[in-house]
Amino acid sequence: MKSFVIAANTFRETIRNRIMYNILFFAIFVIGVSLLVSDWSIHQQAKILKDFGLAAMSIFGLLIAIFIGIRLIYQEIEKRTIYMLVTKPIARWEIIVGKYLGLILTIAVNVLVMSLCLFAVDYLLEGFVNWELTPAILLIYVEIMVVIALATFFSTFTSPMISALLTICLFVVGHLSPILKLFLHTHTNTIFKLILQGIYYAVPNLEYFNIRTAVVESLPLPHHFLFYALFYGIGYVGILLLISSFIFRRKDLK
Amino acid sequence: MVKSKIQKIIWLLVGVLFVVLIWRVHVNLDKIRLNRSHQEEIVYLPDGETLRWASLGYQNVVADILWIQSVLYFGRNILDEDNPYYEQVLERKKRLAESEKDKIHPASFQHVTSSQNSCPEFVFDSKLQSLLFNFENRGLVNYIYPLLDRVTTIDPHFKYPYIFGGMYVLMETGEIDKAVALLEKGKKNNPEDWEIPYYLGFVYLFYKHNLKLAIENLKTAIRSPQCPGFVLNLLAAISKKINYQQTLISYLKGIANSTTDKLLKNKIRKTLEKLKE
Repeated sequence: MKSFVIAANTFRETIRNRIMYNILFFAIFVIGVSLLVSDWSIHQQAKILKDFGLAAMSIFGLLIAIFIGIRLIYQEIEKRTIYMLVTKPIARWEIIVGKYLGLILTIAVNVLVMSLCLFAVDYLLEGFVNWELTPAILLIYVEIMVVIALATFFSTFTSPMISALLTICLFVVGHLSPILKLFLHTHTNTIFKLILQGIYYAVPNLEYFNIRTAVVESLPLPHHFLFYALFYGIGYVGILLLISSFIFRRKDLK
Repeated sequence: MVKSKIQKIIWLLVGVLFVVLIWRVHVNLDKIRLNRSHQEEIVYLPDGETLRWASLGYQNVVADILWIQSVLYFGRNILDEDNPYYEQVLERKKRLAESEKDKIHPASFQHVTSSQNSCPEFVFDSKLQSLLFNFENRGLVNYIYPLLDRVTTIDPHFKYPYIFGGMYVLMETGEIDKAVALLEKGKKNNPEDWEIPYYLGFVYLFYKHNLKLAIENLKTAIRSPQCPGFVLNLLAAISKKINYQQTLISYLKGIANSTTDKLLKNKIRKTLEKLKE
């Protein structure tokens, strides 16, 4: 319950963030511009608009997540506002969870605005609302949730700059997971294989949240894929928040 | 007071001077680089697989950007009156014709050398040959197939580039083997699709003169639940080797009706008109 109060406060605080508005404005601008770009594509306007629109949602959503997520805990410590919280009867894990929930709520509003914008532009082009994009948008949001959890995790023990770097690194590795798996199959060295296997399972496989191609090109998705991907994402977030809470509990705030 | 006003005017003039200077340099750079810069970008592109992995989950967007680049490259380098670089392309075409004066392009005598063992006679009709083997832009867009190959490696389910390269670009350039390779790749990556094997059947029949593979591809096309009924009729006509004019017209009409590409539609429409003359 206390987490929800912190979440509401975090939401109010982050929704007023000027960086977020700049990024959101830029995302909407890109979705609009993709309508013009798609005009050069010989009758592939709808596909290109959807590709660019979904990519813009994902990229700008992630940018908001990283820029705000890395400062989430650090800012409280830096401004010393954390003391007001820790002196109250609130468990430290509640602070982490509250902050996280507040930020994902802010991102949800952002994704909703961007989605409405994409649906509207697509409606202008196709003449109907393409609800088939919804699963892709849902998984973009889950991916952002995982990235926020990573940023929150790093922000519990490092500076914002290093948190941003580490989050971006894991984002890149997370999208290269299929290559890691390929290496696993081709290498014979056991130790190397074990290390790769460790990395493969420790780093979130962000490609599981990428169904943009399948949705735009109307390809069939494996049975229950969406459910498994959602479960994987939420499970990963849970683990990261658990570790973050553990680190934050032991953190000396003096 | 007056001094500060003069100072402001001087700064303004300097600013305007810089803007004009930059604009002039920009115009000159455009003139120097022109088409070349676009070709350089294409020549130094990494292969499709590398681009796919480097796109970090944004494969569609990378493929779309490359697709737009392909279309722009093609549009800038073909003989088309709408092409802003028409004069330069015409000049290139003349130079190319001069250098290839004594050369006989393999595609020009494809119908003579290929086996005529099982193909229906209409495939070798001289009027048809002159229409289909009139490759107006041969040698002018050499990078188009490598570009389309990259687009389709990055996004293997992006169907349109296969059809564009397999039909329209082929009819302009005469790169039969490259067109077949692209369509075969498309068929492999999109086994549920009927359009790609349908176009492949056309290329095998009228450009490669291979009836067996043409029929095989049409059979693949009709296996798709989305395949329209006329393909089955066409397959029957080709299999029985009957009714030349009608068979060809049906095939071309089928392509014209199924494609959304205005360029290909126009090309087919013109071919149909000439056939009926």
